[in-house]
Amino acid sequence: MRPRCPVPPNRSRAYRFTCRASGWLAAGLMAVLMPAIADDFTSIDRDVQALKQEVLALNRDLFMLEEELLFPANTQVAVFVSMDVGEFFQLDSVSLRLNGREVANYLYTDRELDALLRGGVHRIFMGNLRAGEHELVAVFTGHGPHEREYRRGAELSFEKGISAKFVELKISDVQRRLQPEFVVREWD
Amino acid sequence: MDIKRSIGPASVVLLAWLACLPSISFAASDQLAADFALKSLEGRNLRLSELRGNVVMVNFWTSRCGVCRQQAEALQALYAQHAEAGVRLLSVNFDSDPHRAREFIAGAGIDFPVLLDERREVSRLYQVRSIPVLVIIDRDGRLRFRHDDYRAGREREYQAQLQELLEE
Repeated sequence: MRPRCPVPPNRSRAYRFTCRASGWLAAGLMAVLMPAIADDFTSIDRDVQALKQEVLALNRDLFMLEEELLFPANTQVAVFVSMDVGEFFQLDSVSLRLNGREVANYLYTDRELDALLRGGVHRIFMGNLRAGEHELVAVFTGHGPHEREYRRGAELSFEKGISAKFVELKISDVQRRLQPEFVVREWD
Repeated sequence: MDIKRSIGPASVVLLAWLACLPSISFAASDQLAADFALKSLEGRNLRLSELRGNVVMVNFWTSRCGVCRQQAEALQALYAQHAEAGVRLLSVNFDSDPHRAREFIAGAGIDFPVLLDERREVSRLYQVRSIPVLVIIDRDGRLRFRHDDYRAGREREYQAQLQELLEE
């Protein structure tokens, strides 16, 4: 498309030529500069994304460093809760006692239960213990078959060595007994 | 002598300041609101952090406090007005007997969730020393406003603060 120039008919040919030429020049400049401007925006966007990634990585490293400092591997103990099926038991809360002292009391919301039923694992406790014999008692409360209030305890005596100790509290259904089962086990 | 003379006015100023303390409301823009989970009167467990993305009002009360009823009614009206815009209200009761809370609710015509803090852990977490207390938390979970008392007409202030947080 030719650039239009509102030139009155009584103007000279040179004037008309200059006007049209400047129009072509402006259009040419735009055609050259536009991709460059678009490239600049893309480049800024890329830089911002890269910066975000770096911040996330830094945040992760800081989190891991903090965990390592607060819970060194030689004293670290972590307890996890997991659920399998959950037809015969609807979890409400878990209370955890370690060597007779309450260390966690966690209420589960509907959203958290949903996550557990989808295979999620919840870290309910993380702390430090010295090497030796320890006793863990978990009390599960919720609703059992026929909407009955249900409260069940499970315990585990374990030996803490020089490496980190991980314990899992697993709630699963026993189909043949139509009852839930609560298992406390150590992770290898 | 000068010291003795200045004690009188200083003590008056101090007393006036202490008298004003309960009505202080402040903005704490960078402090993340402490997370908690409590059981509601209906039996559901609710966790504050799951309401992230909404402006959340949390009020602390007991059934023995007369002014708490007035505040509850004012909050109910505000909640009804702003619920669709993304305002949530958690009402934390720390009576030792949940039946009292039930009776209180029945009388006040309230339909927002009432949470039971029988062990008073959440009240301690939020340093509730007088009642009622209202905290307003922004969409990012930061504790932005706190009111340590209630007087008739205070809801206008609450409304302005809710509006401010909703517009952010």
